[in-house]
Amino acid sequence: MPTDVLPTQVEEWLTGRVIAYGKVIPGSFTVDTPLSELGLDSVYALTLCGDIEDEFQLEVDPTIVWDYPTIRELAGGISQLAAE
Amino acid sequence: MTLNQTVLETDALHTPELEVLFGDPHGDGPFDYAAIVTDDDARRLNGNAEEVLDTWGAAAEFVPAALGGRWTDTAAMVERLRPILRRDPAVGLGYGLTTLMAAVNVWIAGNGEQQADVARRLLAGEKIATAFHELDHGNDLLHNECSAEFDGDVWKLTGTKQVINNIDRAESALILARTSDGVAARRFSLLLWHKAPGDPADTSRRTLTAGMRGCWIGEARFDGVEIPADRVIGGDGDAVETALKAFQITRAIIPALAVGSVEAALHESILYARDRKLYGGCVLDIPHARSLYADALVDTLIADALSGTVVRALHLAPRESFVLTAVSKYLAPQLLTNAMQLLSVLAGSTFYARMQPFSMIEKFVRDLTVVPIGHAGSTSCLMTILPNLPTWARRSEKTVDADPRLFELNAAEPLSALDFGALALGAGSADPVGAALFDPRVRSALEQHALEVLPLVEELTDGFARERAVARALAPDQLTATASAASFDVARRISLYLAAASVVGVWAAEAGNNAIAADPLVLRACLERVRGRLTGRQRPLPREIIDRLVAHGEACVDGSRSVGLRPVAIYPARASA
Repeated sequence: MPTDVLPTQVEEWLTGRVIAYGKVIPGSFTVDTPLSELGLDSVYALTLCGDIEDEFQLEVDPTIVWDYPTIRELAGGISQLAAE
Repeated sequence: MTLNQTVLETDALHTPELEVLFGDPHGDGPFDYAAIVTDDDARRLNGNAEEVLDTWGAAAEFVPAALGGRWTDTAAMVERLRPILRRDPAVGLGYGLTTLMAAVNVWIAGNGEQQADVARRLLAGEKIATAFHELDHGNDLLHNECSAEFDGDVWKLTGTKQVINNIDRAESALILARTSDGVAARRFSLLLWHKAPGDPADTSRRTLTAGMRGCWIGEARFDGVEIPADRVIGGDGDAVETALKAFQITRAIIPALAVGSVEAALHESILYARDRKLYGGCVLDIPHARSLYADALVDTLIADALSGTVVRALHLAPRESFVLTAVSKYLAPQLLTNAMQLLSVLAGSTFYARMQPFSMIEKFVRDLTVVPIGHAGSTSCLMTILPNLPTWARRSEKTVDADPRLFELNAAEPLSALDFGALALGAGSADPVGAALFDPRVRSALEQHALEVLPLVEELTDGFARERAVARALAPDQLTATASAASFDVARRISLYLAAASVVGVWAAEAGNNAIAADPLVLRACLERVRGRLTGRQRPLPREIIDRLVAHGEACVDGSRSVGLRPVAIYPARASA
């Protein structure tokens, strides 16, 4: 398990996922925009978690996306998990 | 001789206790088909059946052994309860299933005190209604409106819940209520309402339904009902997470139980087709009628294999159960209602005119229509599968080992107690069911016992691999409710391949013995019907397979055995009171 996942790295990757999701145009949001306003509903959280697990070799509960509802908070949560 | 074979010896078949207590439904007992149909017309549940269930302590089936109940092995629970479903699906739903739906939330997320309270109430014969549904929002839980406000002391509940079974007579109800305006999935809490005289609530409006007529299904209107803070099950805002875990258990159990109802209808169909004389013989002599019966039996066996495997997965692969239980609740009810439709055609005008003694077929058709609608609807199950598909497909492709225990429907060894805490949300980490199609042990069993079916298995295995690649590449916008019909079809097809894998896995677990589950002809029939659903074209089964299936159906009727993959003795003379 990688122990040196920086929050900024995760933010960058998550931003890429949000853009790939295709509901918002790049530059129209920040890392503090609620994910729900980026078209990421609770259902998509499940998809995103699979991607997080495979990208960062972590086991994450999909509810992480509910409890860390912005890119910044989620990145913080993920890098914290990686450090554990 | 393996353990499995001993269980399958006809003369050594186990008779479930409720079979003995209910007795033969063809007799003139208080819970026979004539009484059941009369009660259905009168829109009431059979009181004698409920009395038998109370005396037997049926509610203990829903209480984990650790809390004083009988629930350890869920597959064994299904077997013990199927006698109810063989006689009357409405009693199954009306007596207990919705209480189970509520209770599993408490077993998953309740604290020790709440669990002890609910266990005590159930064991004392109380019922709990599951008050989640609002007609305006269907399975779209996150848009439910019934809400509760915390006044610093208690929750005050306001709003309406609809089509709630037992809402009027149950002593309690578990209510999904909106309790905050935060992130959608954290807006809801589960409130356990123990009814008290004078509560500002009205549960007296009944909703009339086409099927399950005996059930008292109705509406609850809350106008400030007070619920103490310690009756929130799980934390504030945890309702969706808890319910998504709890649904897995009921999504597994309900289709497995419903198999019992279709088994019963298959039994009646043989009796009817032998009894009814047409064209100088009996209906059972007519090739088209035999074909209808065979198709119905095969669809039931597929549903039995899939739902039986998924019930075992709750214990053996809990982390994979989120997707697997949605697959079972999507596909098995479709197979079962299709089987019922085929049997209604077999019954011909008798079905429409409801001629005694076969009027139960018409009732079962109506009752089972609710199985793909109620609880988690078929489409909602596909929507549960969809967002997980790309991740699931990646992990399925990496899965090397099938778990043979998943498929041992006749295992003599009971499953160890269900670990409610092990259920999770998401795609899981492997695909132990689909892996059966690639399992070298399965392949060698096929080479040894069913070489002629191997090409069909290989065809389905190749198709599964191709479909996984499609699933892996689904774009993010194709994974939610607004996905295209083509994406929904990927979820449907993956479900069919997992059903095929269950069929093959169950067959391999029995291969070489003389059970119906081990018969290469039955294996071929099941896989042909799965392929027919994949290609959109069902070809008639070959005559030798139809003959084998009808012979099996007749032998089960003559030997008073259930017709499915886990045979038990059924319809004995009733035990004297």
